[in-house]
Amino acid sequence: MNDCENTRELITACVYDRLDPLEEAALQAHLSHCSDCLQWRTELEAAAPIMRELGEAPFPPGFSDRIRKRATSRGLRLVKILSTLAAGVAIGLMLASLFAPATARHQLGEYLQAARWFFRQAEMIDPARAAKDFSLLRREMDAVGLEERNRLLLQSTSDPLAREWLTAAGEVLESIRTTSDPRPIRDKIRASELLEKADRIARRNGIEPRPLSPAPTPVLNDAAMETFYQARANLYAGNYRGASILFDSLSQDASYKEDALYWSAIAAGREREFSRALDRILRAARGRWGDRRTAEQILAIGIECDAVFEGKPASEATVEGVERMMKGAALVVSIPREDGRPMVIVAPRSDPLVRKFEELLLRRSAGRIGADEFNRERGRIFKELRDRSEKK
Amino acid sequence: MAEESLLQRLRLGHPDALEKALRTFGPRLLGFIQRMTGDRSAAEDLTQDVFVKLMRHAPRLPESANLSAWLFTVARNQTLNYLRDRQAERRRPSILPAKTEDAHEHASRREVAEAVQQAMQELEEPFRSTFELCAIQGLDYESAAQILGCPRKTVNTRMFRAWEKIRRLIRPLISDSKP
Repeated sequence: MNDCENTRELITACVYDRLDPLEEAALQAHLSHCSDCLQWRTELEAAAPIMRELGEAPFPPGFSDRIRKRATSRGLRLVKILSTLAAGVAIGLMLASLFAPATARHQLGEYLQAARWFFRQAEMIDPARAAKDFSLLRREMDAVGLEERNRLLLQSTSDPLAREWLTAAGEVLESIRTTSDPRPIRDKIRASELLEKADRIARRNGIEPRPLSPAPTPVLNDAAMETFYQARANLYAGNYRGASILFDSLSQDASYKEDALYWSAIAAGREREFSRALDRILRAARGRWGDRRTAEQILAIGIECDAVFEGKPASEATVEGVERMMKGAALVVSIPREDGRPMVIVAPRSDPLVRKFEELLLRRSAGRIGADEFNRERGRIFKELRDRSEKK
Repeated sequence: MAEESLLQRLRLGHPDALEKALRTFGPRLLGFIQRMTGDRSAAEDLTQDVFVKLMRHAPRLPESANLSAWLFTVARNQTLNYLRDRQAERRRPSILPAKTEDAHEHASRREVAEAVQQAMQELEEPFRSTFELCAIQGLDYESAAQILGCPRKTVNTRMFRAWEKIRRLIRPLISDSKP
């Protein structure tokens, strides 16, 4: 950078911030013999007050009222929900996204699409795959306590628009729940009816059903799916570091590599990697999660999550858990109980067991251990975590 | 009302706190987002979102938080997300119209202001945010650095580069203007 450029940086700092005495002296010395820089300063000084006047844009009529209405109604809903939870309702996770009609729409849309895809598969593509995917979808619903949250939110809100969305979401969740196996002909008919119903709900609520994916999504083995749930739970709970590690570990699975990289990049919040991953796998991502906007909306849902965990009063755990996870100080682990229900544990990352788990994940992501060893080790760690939590 | 006191009232859920926050920061945030997006209606939606977030997060903001920095950080992040969404169809307004025969007349402050706004559309990120925060919103480098997540020195360099570009685009007007 030459003298004039240095001086112009000083002029900018002088107008918009401050200079120390040495900088001030250097500036004056240069200006005393450089008419170009002097002109440069004159122009900036002339424009600065005009530019400062641009700062504000007047609110249109009624705008303050609209903001006030939206901001306070959400706040009140949150307080109501937290009070309900504090009263002792034990749920694994709670997505704040359902507080708002707009984000409820995204979540509903996601489940509608999933239901639609599975029903269509059952109808004409791959019934066996559909049955497996259906059971996975139900497990995911269990893992995030979706139906329970939906019910609580419906109880707690009087906003008609929110109620319409939550009711529609409830219908879709019910349809996923009640179609136990879409393979038999009876269920196939039921599936077709539900598909029609899902489409009607979607259209009524302004969602245009997406075309079906041209390529089937990969089938995950159980172990990979387990990791996928852990990762999604972490992502939804806002623990991006934890989610990223988990998704990275999945990328060793060839059949899931692209999706895992994509999710990992989202979880890590690394914009460049995110863009590159998006470009590389846009086609695959569209098939699974919709377009880029949908993917980012899913991320936004993750950011707005609250969480409730075992062993502590729900409201206290929510605040503390989220804060710790946002700082990357804790990891969320969802472990299946003996009866199949998930146990969601938030453990601090200083916890020796969590450290061990993270090390294991890192070894797996680096390809230093195989899937079998990974699964064995992980089973041991989870057992210890589960036993410890149950003792508490 | 001082910013710290407003933050305290927001944290405690005081009924008039949102009103005060809207009056103090609303038009500035709307102006900021409008210039960043070039779209009035999107700016109104995003401004609403910023205040909804404020109400949701206020109880958990630390007492020492810098409220204006927090609000502009949220506003900037939301705006960048929005811009990424519509990147493909992003409309880039044309830069200054060619000088006409009245170019020798003194440009009014309004003309300069409009020219600056147009010229700002030509700035890339993060230069545009930096320039907006310091030159338009009047934040000092320390606060801008906090919002942008970069060192203070970087803010200064970006300001210098941003003004270099804007100056080239508006120079015919600014050299004629009488502030």
